[in-house]
This record gives sequence, structure tokens and C-alpha cells, in this order.
Amino acid sequence: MPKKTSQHKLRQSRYSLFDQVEHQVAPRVLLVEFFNWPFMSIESRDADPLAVVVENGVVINASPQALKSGIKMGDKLRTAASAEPGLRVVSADMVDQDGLFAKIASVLERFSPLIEIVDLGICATTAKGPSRYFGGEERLALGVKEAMEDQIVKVFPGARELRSRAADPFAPGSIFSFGISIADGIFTAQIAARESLIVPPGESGSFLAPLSIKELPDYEIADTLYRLGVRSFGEFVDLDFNLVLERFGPRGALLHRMAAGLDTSSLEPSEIKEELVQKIELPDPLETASAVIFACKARVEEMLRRLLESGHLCQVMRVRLVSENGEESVRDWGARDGFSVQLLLERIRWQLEAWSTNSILAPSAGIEIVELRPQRIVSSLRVQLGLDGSERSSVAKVSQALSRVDAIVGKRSSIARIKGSRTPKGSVEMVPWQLHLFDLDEERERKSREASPWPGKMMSPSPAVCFDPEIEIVLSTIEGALVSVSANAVLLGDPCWISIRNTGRTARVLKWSSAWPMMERWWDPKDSIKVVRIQIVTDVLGALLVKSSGGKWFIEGSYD
Amino acid sequence: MGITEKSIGRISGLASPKFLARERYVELDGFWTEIFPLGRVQLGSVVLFEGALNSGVTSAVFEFLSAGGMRRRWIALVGFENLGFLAAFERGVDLGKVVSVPDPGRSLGQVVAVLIEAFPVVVIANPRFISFSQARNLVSRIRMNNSIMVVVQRDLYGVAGQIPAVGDSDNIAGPFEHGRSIGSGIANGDVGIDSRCVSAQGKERAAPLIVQRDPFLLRPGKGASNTRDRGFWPGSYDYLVKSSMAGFSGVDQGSGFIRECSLSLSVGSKRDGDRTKSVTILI
Repeated sequence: MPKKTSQHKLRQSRYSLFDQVEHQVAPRVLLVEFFNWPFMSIESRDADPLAVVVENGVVINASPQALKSGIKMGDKLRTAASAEPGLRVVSADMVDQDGLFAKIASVLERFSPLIEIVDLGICATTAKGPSRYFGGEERLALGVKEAMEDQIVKVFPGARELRSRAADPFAPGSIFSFGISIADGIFTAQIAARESLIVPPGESGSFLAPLSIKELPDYEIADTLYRLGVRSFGEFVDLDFNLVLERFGPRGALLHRMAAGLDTSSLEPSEIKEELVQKIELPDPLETASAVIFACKARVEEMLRRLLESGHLCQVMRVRLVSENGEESVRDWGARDGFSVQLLLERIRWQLEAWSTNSILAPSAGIEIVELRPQRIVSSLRVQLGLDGSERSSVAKVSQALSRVDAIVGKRSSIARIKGSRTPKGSVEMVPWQLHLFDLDEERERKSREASPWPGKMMSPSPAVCFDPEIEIVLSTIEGALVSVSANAVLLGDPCWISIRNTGRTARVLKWSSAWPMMERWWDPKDSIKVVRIQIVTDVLGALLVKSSGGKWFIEGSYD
Repeated sequence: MGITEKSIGRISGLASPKFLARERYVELDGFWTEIFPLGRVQLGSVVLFEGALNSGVTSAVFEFLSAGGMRRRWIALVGFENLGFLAAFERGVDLGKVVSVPDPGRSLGQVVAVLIEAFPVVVIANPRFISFSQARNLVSRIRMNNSIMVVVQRDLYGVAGQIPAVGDSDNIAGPFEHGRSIGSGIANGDVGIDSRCVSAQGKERAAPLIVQRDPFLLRPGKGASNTRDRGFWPGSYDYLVKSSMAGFSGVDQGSGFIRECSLSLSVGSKRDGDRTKSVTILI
């Protein structure tokens, strides 16, 4: 374990007395982190899947096996998928869709009633009281480790299988491996969890000092510091606090304190004004999660709006559910960038589902009360301030601008959403910006549709321009005969010329692809139509996606 | 009272820059670092994308919007009616932060002015309907707000639009019925339509028309406005990205499918003495 140094004491003295007092009273935190949680949560019996988590076409997490095969974080999906044909791709939205982690984290409740889910795969609880009860921090950590392992083996068939073969499912590098740490504050505990360490009280500063500055939880500030020659946490802490505050604003000051081991975030509830607490008493006890979520929607929105208007964001929310018979489920949920309406409703749903499927503690009657109590509120500036101290484009600011634009144009601005479909055009749904509050059921259903396989889907790359309406063309052979498609989707004639109807514009076809037949709307006998698509490369119009439908040819898109 | 050391310190503190010049940039990554000066884009810049019809400009724009620090920014797309968002997604653009205003019509200048205030990146297709004075104002706003404006000089992104029956007539062809195009009426060039076009067909006067323009038309037809004829505010861009498509692989005479395309990109920057650097990539 790192030793406390005199230099560290000097560093601490730069902070106000309040900081030091806060540090001294900050509770010890026990934190459990599952390093490969996204891959554990996907439905797979494979103990070491070749899989990646993808967000907006970019790999944001890769399983140990995928990393071994050379896939890196930040790779584009196309690059990764072409390198590994058997790669399993998990959308970031789909990770832990069923709230499985809430069930795993509930193991901690056996040790302490107050648990916080910091992020998916990371949960924490206070360590001070339980460590005294269990006879020390080491014993507590050992107890949690054993309980967690039992729960994982119980829940995941892959882990069970490994254990039955006398292999250790939790060996380092395994997909089920996890780390447990005890330290001052969540940030230090999270760093310590990588090596499963117990950092003695007050030694966080010296423990963090050798860490690379790139580990700071703010990419932009870390990058700037690195470029300015600051390479480690220790060097960052050596900078004068007031200069850091002046230069990087409150966000930089917060990071400075964190780097010094004075992590102000804790599991202990800070003083929260009672008027911020939202107690939703349902008129009738409700038995399904969807009904409870629906009933809470408006109040949640109002609560978060009030917080935002007062310049605050809630990072930790305590959700208390009470059944008609008085049974209770209490859980703290975390969101580093503050809760959005959708995020909070989703967490409530997870808690409801985890509670109702608990074989011992499941409620015996419908839900009557939902109480939302913010546990950690921070100034929205802490999250939103830009590097130069100016306001970064926040959702509220963007939303305000778009409302003005909509008023000018008279139409709604929209955001593109990718959905499951076989065609490039069908795969995109334009959603009006104003739809902040998604219907969660619909959203969930949509995500499951996205995740479903789409046999016959057009392969990547997709056309960069998709015409709407499609452009009618004439596709002809070198002799001038029209190219048609046989009943079994074979081109009758080699395409040589295309000409756009009514304009006389022509282009020579240089190459063309295999035909890609598809039965569109096959479920509707009246509207179903057989479509054949081909890609053609022309001399002046570039590469085009054209389709034959009802005896006519149309340009559907351009690979511009 | 003489000037004390303390007061000098205070004055120098006031005079010192609030943030360093090097931070007024967006860092790029990948091949962009080879062609953009110092591998980054200065905030408050206009980046103009140009290319012929089959030049891969749209793909180049997608690659640009997903490069390095650009990816973390909110992006407003203005005037892109036909964009292939699936392709953008495949190339790594964060669609959750991309808002599209597909058809701003003649309010384009006003719309862009509003968006610049909130969005760090605003991408405009076909900046028609922007007068030179508006253009000057927009550029100064971009500089002031430290936003980045990306202009894509193409006619490919808007095919159909509801056109008010006013303005200058242009080469309208094709039959109209009840104020709407039937079949595949094609209007070349500018979108302004004179009501005479409608009356000439003996149909409803002054009714809005739905017309199709030839999406592959690069040159405007007769009667086009000066602004559009002369391109996007000549001289007002800071970076000029030119793109050309070298070829497609994977597809042949009736077999295979397009797998990759080879794209040649060159970037010229006024801030770098108009020097141009080029790169050829496979995307």
C-alpha cells in the first residue's frame, strides 16, 4: 500500500478548511466493478464471446477476446466487423436492457442497506459501519467477494459451466472478473478496484499521484493538461488550486480536488431541501411496471425541470417504492452527467422489475407510493461549463434555438434515428426534436426491433444520399433494349446506359453488381411487391443504388 | 503613488488571455491530421467542401463530422433533404447530436443565424437565398461564437420542395395539374416559379407547386440569382476541401457488391498560405 507522504500533507493544506473537514468526514466506500459488464449482460452462454459494444457506429467497448484479435476502442464498426466476421455487435442502448445489474447489485444489500449503482457494472456502498460489524475492511471485502461470486454463478450459465469444469470463472482476464475496493470517495475507489485494493483512510492523494493525467474523468481538460506538459495526477495537484480554478473554472477545480484524493462525492446524503423531494401517491395501487412509469412521467418531468431551472442537476437519486401492504424497496441511482427524464424513468423501471422478480422480497401487492429524493445535487455549471469557462451548448440551449427555427420555417426540425429495416431509406426514422419524452414502452420495443436480425438487409456501405422521391430512369443495354428482371431475379441484358426520364441526361454504366432481390411488405398480400436492387457505377453520375419495381427502374440513392 | 509590484501583477493578470490560442481549435484524427494544417480546425472557421458530381463529397463530410473532437459536438444540418443518415451512422457520426432542418426555404439566412448561436457546428447544403450582406453577418457571427460552419456546395441534396408561386421563372417542364406536378415534371435551375407557369397550363393560379428539380444538375439554369451563380461567398471560407472519387472496389460486371471506395481529398487553407495537401483513402 502506498505510504502517506509529507508532500501529500502540504498539498492538502492548499485547500480550504471546509474541504479538509469534508474529506475527513467523507465515508469510506466499498465499490465493486465488473470490468466486462456489457458482455456479461448479453444473452450468451459463451464465457468469452467475441463481441463489441457499439455506439453510433463506433466501438466503445470490446470483450477480452475482441481486444486480443486486434479490435480497438474507437474503431469504426465497419472496420471491426470486416476484420472479424464472427463478431457479435451489441448496441450501447441494449446493454442491460432488462436491468440485470440491479439484481446483481442487490447482493450488497446483505452488507449495507444503502447501495448506489454508480454506473452499469459499478455499484458501491458505505464501508464504515459494515466493516466494524464484519470485523474489518478486509473481512468485509472478502465477504462481498464471495457473495458476488455466488450470485454470478447463479445468474450466468457461462460462469456455472466454467465452475463445473473446475476452472475459475473470476480469474483475471475472464469475462466475469470483477474488482472490489475500499477507499475514500467513489473516484478513488473506482481506480483502486482495478487492482482490488484497500486504500487506507487519508491516503487517496498519494495513491492517485502516479496516475496518468489521461485518467481524469474529463477528456478535454485532461487533453489540455497533457499538452501543457502535466503528465500525472501528482503534477496536476502541484499546480496552484486558485490558478486551476481561474483557468478551468469550477469543473477544473473539482477535478483538482479529485486528483488530490479529496473526492467530494460520497454516498452520504447531503442536505437536500424537502421541496425537491417528489412523493407520488398513486390513486390506485398499480401492479405493472409500465403503469407505474406512466403514472410517474409528468411528475418526474416537472421535478427535473424545476431542478434545471434553478441551475442544478441531480447526480444521485434515491428511489423509494412502497407497496399497498407497506413493503419497501429503496435504491440510490447515479448519473454522472445528471439525470434526464428518460434515464430516471428507466432506472425506476429497473428497480420495479428487480424487486418484483426477487424470490424472497417481492412485494405482495401493487405499488402505491413512488418517492424520489435527490441525494446529490450539483450546480449544472459543474457539468456544463466549457473549457474556457463559457457555457457549452447544452440541450436546453439547442432546444431553444430549434424552437425558434421551427417557428421561422413552420416545420419541425428532426433527429435521425436508426431502426431495424432491410433498406437504407427504411432504416432511418426522422423524429421531431420536440419529442423529448419518449414513450418508454415504444422505445424499448423499437430497440428490440433494432437488435433483431434483418435477413436480406442491404450490406454496408449504404448510399450517402437517398432520394425521396426516387428518380425514375431507363436502364438499357448497349443495343438500346430495356434491361428487365426475370421472375427469379436475374437481369435480362447487361446494363450499359442509364437515362433520367424527362431530362435526357444519360450516363454510361461501367460496372454493376449482383442483383439483390427482396419481397417488400410480404406480410400484406395486397401491397407486397417484388423489388430487385443493383448497384451500378457510371461514368458521370458516380455509383448509384437502383431498383426495379413494377417494371420500372428508379435511382434510390447515390454513393457520393 | 507609484506603481507597486502588486498592482503590476494585478494588471498583468487582467491583461493575460483567458485561454490559450491553441485551445481555439478542434483536434481532428486519422487521415485528416495529414491534410489539415496542424491536424486541426480553428474555431470560428468556414470549411467549404467542393467536388464534382461523383466526387464523394458527402462521404467526405461524414468522415469530417466524425473525426476527433468534431464527434463530440452538436451538429445542425440545414438544407439536406436527401441525406443518407444510415451511411452517416456507419461512418461514425453521432446521430444523437445531429439535428436536421431539411427545408429552410428562403429563410435560410435567418435559420442559420439562429443555429449558430446554439450549435458549435452548422452544416449548410446549397447556400442559396443568402445575400452577400447576410453572408458577411453570418461569418462574423461564426467568428464571434467560435462555431464552425461547414458548407457543402452541391445541388444533390434537395429534389422536391414546396415552392411559393412567386419569384423568377425558370425552366419548368412537365405537366401540372391542380397546382401540383404530375408524373415527373422537372424544373431545371432555380426553384422560384412564376405563377404564369401555372396559368399557362390553364390550372389553378398562384397555388403552391411541388416540382422536381434535376438532382444531378450542377449548373443553375437561366435567371438564377447572382449569389448562387457565384458560389458561396467567394473568399469567405477558411478551409477548402476538394474531393474526388477514384473508384469502387468489390463490384464488377454483374457480380459482387460495393465494398470500398477510394477517395482523394485535398485541403487548402488560407491560414496556411493557401498551401494544399492531399491524401487518398479507402472508405
